[in-house]
Amino acid sequence: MERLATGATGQVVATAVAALLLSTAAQAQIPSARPAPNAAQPPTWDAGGSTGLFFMHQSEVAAQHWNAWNGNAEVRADLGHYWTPHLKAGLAVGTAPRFRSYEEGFVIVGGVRRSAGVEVATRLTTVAPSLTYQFLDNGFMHPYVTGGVRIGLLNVHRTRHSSLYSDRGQTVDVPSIDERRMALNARPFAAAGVKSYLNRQTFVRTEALTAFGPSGAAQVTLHLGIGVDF
Amino acid sequence: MSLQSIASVALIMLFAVGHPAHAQQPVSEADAWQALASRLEAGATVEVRLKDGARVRGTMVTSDAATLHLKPHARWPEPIRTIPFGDIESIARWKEGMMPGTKVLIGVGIGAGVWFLAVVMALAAGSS
Repeated sequence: MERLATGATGQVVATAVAALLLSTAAQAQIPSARPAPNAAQPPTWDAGGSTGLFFMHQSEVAAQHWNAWNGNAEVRADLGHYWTPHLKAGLAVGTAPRFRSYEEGFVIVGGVRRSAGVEVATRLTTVAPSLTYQFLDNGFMHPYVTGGVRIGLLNVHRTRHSSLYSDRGQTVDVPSIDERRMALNARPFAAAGVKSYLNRQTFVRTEALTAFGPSGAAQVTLHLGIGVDF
Repeated sequence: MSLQSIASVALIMLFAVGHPAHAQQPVSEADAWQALASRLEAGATVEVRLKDGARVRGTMVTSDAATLHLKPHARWPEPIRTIPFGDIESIARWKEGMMPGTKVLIGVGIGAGVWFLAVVMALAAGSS
């Protein structure tokens, strides 16, 4: 009786295994009609890094200034999300190495004008939210235009060594300066560039950007970078 | 008049009368593009310009009496386009070249090389 029960259980197990195997085999033979997830869906995000030239007008760092531009390098990271195939919201974070410029200043000693300029070391870190319109559809090259605001954290260090000027019986002591200040500014900008693809997802980005201050163009960048759509 | 001469005159007359009549036959542009498309092999890569100014590059899949079926050359796959021959301005063979990104990198590389060479030459000229 016990043996009979064991035999019946074995039969049930064998039948269940056979049914499972048959079911698996049958499922394997059904052609998959479902496409791979997002097989033909273009990605809606892009991210990239770039480096390039950065020019800042002297008026951005010094009240007393020449009409001069300071050139430097800049590195930048970008992240963007496409709301439509043409419209993208983006955020860029950039920084430039500290660079030195000169703020003009004078003292009059015995009727003679003597230089008492201040050396200005500046570092600018920017965060730039933006909106981009991208031309063309699903191509390997996409020109675009961008508008946004560059919010800049300006770290300025002004230094001057003390000096003593003497001329025609007059002595003027020019005091030393060692000042640090942080300033936050917002500059609207316009940019134009091209995303040129190396393959379906990887692109090279070339871009020119101009940011505007109270007295006109204040910052200009020329960037070359690489990025990926995902 | 020999039989040969009669035959020659008849042929000349046939040519003189028949040829202009044939030349004056209006050829439909759509029919011409259809004829051209029928001679293209499947898989040929072509650039099709449309009368509305649009341009489509892609692989020719097939054509029938009225339309051309083209798989567009796009970054992300697009469905086959059916283009009526009546909408076509031109069809030309097209060859996929280097990727635009590669061209940009080559251009930048050449530019950087020229700049570097100019700096080296300027330094050499300054030191001598």
